Amino acid sequence: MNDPRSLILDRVREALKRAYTPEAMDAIPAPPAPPPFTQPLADVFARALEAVQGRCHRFESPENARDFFLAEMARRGASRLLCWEPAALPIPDLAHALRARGIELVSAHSPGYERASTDRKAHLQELAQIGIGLTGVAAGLARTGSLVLHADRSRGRLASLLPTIHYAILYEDQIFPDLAAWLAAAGTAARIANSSNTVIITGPSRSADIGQTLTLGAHGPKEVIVLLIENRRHGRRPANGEENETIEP
Amino acid sequence: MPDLNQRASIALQDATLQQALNRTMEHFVQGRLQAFAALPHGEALRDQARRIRAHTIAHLDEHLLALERSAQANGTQVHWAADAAAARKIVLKIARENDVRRIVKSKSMLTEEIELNATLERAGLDVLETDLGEFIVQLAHDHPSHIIAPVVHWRVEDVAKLFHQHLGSPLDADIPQLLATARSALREGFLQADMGVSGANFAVAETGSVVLVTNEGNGRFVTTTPRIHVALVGIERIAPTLRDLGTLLQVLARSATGQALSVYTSIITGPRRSIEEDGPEQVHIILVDNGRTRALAGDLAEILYCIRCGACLNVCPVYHNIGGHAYDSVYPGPIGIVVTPAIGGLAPWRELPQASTLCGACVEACPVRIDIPRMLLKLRAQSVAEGYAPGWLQKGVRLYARAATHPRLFRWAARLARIAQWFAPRSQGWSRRLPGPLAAWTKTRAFPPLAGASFSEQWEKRSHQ
Ligand code: SF4
Repeated sequence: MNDPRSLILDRVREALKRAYTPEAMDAIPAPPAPPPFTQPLADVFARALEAVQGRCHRFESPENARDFFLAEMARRGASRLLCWEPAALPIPDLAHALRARGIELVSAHSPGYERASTDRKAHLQELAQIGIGLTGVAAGLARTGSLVLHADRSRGRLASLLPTIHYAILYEDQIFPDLAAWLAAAGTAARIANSSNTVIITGPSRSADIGQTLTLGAHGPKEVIVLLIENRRHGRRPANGEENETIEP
Repeated sequence: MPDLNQRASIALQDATLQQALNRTMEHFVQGRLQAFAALPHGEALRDQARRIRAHTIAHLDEHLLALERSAQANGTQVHWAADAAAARKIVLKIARENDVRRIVKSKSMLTEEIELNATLERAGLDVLETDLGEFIVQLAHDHPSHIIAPVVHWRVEDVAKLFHQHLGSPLDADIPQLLATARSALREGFLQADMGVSGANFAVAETGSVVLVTNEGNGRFVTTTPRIHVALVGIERIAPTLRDLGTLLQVLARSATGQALSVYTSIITGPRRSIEEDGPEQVHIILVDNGRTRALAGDLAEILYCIRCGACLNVCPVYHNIGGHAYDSVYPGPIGIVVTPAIGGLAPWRELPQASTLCGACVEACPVRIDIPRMLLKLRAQSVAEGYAPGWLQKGVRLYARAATHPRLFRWAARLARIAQWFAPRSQGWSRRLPGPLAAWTKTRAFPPLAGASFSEQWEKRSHQ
């Protein structure tokens, strides 16, 4: 019996002898490049994010952002957060400050939430009770107001998916002009190849299926709130995809 | 009392609803035009997207092998399915081997094409469609009527009734309430599922990744919470590199909904690594042929350039008039009337290539500039060569006789008759305001954007090719 793989490949090769494929070239040329933005990328990003119903708060320093976030948690009366591993959160002392205020930081690795210790579905049910998520990001895309996140050991994908509200921390030096520029940057391809899941998030979840009316919060977060920070504390820009990592696998 | 499905069908013929449909299409069309206008290199990106698709299809064997290699290297299991039955069997086998009971699905036209749900349900598996539109379709035993907006033919009141009946929400629930009701019902489904089944907008040969775009987030859930993720991928769906993916993604969302990017673009590159805290334990790619190699062998290969954005539906005067259901094929509109006979053979689908006025609006809207009218003429010529009547419009009596004895064709006949009227005004060249009794039609509807050339000019040009 012919195995389906060779059958299909044979059919493809046979068909290609007769296929009319207008404008096919042997190699794909480089994509067109848009003119560079004349405005600062952070401004372009903030505007694009607001245009897709996200919110952008801008800060001069990580400390300002931290204080704002602490106030937000107090205002919302939050007692738990679903987040990346605390060591991967890109604001120094944030995890410490949150815990000092009695807020529990839950990641899937947290004691009591370990997958191994419970069944997968019960574990997910538990995590889904948490209304607020907090993550960093790997990159921001100015033209579209998008956030890029790669999943790895310390950066679970659930924190940007399960909660109703997603807070994301972004530094201005992480912003690329657009999707193409980010993909072309050194390190991006390797980071995508090595991460089981890369997600590009452009605003809050939405649907227009009912009555053809745009409504936010279909399955994912209803609110996406970005804390956009101008200066790093130590002024060091990490390599693309590095994200202040300390426990990279 | 007709059931909801029947009511929805009746509603399709309802004037108010026809207006809603046209409004939505018009909204999509304007969105697309604005989204491209906002991009300094929009037209150049479309040219690039076309080059990428042309190259990929012309070198499909190499890219399939590259995709397989990279996918296996990242831990994805790769399967090959020559036809729909083989694809269904593979999904079922994966489900059985892994003791799967509950399946969540994200929107996938390919799974509609291979009629996957019926097989899974017959095998005693719970299947839940999680795209909101598809969920409504599933609850009501209806069919999608647009490849991007499956329930464009449903009114809010009808959704409210459906949810009231099945999910217990109030009869007078408003849109946010209805969305919240669906969110919690489907959330439960995501958390309880053993397996997620998705299609793929693209598969990247360079990295062996499956790429899924959604606005709701169901694409993320289906590929994150269940233990197993199975992606059904048409063999033509490849983007050779991440750079190519970048170009294709930039034109896809703009063409589909007028968004710069869809809300979520997931690039899934293998199962969760052992040290990771979440994500599926197994990822499978099923590469499905099901007639694509038939389309590849000849004049219709260009239809495989398609990235399924739906833009050609939104500008098509025929689609505007008859809606998605009348085509009776999984893929409606300009793309559907070529791809359906191209992959399924012309014999069962002879009427489809007739459902076009050859106005060329689809070519202008298509992000990869697929020459649909050229292929329609090829299909019509093939029909003639095989002994089928060419001028079916003039031979309406014969068509009527056939339709009357073939119930499936009957709906067709009724709707095509309306379109037939268009042949008169068109032969004098297109006009923004249609003459005579058709003026009423343009009064309540924005007339779809038309190609620069008139029908007779187009016909002239194409018959010389
Ligand atoms: S044929 Fe072109 S416009 Fe139509 S769905 Fe395919 S890519 Fe989109």
